Amino acid sequence: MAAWATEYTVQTIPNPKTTDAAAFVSNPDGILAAQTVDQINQRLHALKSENGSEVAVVVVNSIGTEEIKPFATSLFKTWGIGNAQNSNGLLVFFVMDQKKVTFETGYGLEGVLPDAICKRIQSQDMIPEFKEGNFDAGMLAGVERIVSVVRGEKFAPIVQKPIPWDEIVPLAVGVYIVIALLALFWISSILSKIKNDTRYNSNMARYKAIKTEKASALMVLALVLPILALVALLVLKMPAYLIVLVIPIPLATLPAHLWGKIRMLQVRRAPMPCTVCDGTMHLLSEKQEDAHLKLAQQFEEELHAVDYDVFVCDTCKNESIYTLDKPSKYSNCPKCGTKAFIMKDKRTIVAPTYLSAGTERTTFHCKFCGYEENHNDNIPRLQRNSSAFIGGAAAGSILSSGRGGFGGGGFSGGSFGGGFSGGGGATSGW
Amino acid sequence: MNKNTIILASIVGVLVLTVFWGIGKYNGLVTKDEAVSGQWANVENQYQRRSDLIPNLVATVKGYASHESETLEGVVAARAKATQVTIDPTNLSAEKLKEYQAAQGQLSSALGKLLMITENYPDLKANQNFLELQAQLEGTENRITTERGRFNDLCKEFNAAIRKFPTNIVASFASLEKKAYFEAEAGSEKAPKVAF
Repeated sequence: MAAWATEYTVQTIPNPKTTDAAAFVSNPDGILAAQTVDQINQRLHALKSENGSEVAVVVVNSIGTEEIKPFATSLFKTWGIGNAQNSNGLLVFFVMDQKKVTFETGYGLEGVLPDAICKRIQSQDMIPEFKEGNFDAGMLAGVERIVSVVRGEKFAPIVQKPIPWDEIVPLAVGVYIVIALLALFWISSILSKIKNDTRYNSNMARYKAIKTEKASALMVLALVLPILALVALLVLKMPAYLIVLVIPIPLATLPAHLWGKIRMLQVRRAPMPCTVCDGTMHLLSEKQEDAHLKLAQQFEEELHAVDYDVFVCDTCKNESIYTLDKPSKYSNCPKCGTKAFIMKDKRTIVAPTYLSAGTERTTFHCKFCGYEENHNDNIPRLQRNSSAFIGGAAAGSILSSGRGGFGGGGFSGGSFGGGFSGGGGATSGW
Repeated sequence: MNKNTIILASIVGVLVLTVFWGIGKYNGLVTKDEAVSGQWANVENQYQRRSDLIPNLVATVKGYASHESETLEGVVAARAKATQVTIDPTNLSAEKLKEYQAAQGQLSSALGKLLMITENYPDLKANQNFLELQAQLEGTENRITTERGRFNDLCKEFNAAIRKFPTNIVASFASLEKKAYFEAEAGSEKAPKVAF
């Protein structure tokens, strides 16, 4: 045979799948004719589409002094012939200089292809031809016989490998708890820092300071942290389903958020030293404080636009009023200054067309003094295009790009399905 | 930030993470442990498969070589002895495994002897039934070698996992012990060479 004969190892035998997903034959030394290879590929491709079983044919000159059977077992394992769930793979391995051919059956094919049948196929269809030097004819006859035996078998449909949640979840829960505790500690340290800070001269000033710092702390934990985690997932190419683990991170900060809110209110309502005498000032209840507030202020409180805290000193009756703007739809009335100015009506006066812009009138009024104001705005001309979907498509592609490489069913794909064998099959020589 | 708070926060954080890391590691070890037990079942299956082939083989050989009764009886006796030694995979001790290996090894060498004598009977060697039995026996020996090799790999992986720092702390809490695996093939343990 070829004088330059390369001695292949399991790693150096070219895997036909890496170049062509529809190829099943590895014939690096050209022992089989190109036509035979094509024929075998067609038969085996048809078999695979019929019931999913994968048969690989490897024909080489030499594997050195390696024993053919363990070599075949190892090659089968390396390539993973047959799909991972059914292990319905078969390796037909031919070594010229050892004058041997062996079948390595995947676990799932041991039923249809017991060793005795493998032996029979080899001794009846292949070996007689090989003895005559008709390697093409022998291999074709063998493959033909294998296909006729295997094609009758039905295999279970492939289900995806379960995700190992029992290992992921404990660690994830640990991380959530750490984040929750971190949030609590962070907020409590903010609270104690600001409570003891003499630069803030009133409860309300402290309350506002705590509110801002708490918001930024929670922002870091509930928003920046998950984003960093997502980036890490993408950069480290981790499976996409782990994204689910990021979702509870903001929830983990919820207890700290609620607790911080309660403590903040306690700070705001605590008695404080009088600004005039040595006495102590106490917060009045919502009912009591009305006597100290103007009508406009009471009205603002009713609208939940502004909160007023009225503190009165026990000894000198000195009173202090503190203001807290609340997030609301109201703004300050340009006439009376009360925070009761709100949009009342919005209507299109001139409808926009494809040719000209339109006009829209917005009416604001003050619920306290009744003052009204109109604004006219342009409505842009109508456009005749649509550009939605881009965001959705991008998000979809990220979510679906989770597990690649498996299955091997695609047409561009580069591997066998990941099946297992256990050394079954038979070997014959000539 | 208050200094004490930071220290307390880090201690609690580290403790909590350690506990949950430990749970994750422990679950991982249990999975590995189960893999070893599962693989042991595969090994036993293959030995059982060989055991099941023997009556048929003995009967076939008897038809052609009835006066080799000593060898044939040797195989039957070794088979009977080997089937008596079984192992509970949750308790894989070194002695028990050695006993198992010795019993199966005796059967292997008895089989080797049997196949050697068959060389002297050309009629037997041409018998289709015998040839296929031989192929099955050969395939089974290959399977035994493969499954044993995988069993050893899984055991070694498990043993390495429970000894490596810091997983060994988790393993000692859970009192997981080293697993015994098959020793390198001694002369008697070699699979019989089956000529074809």
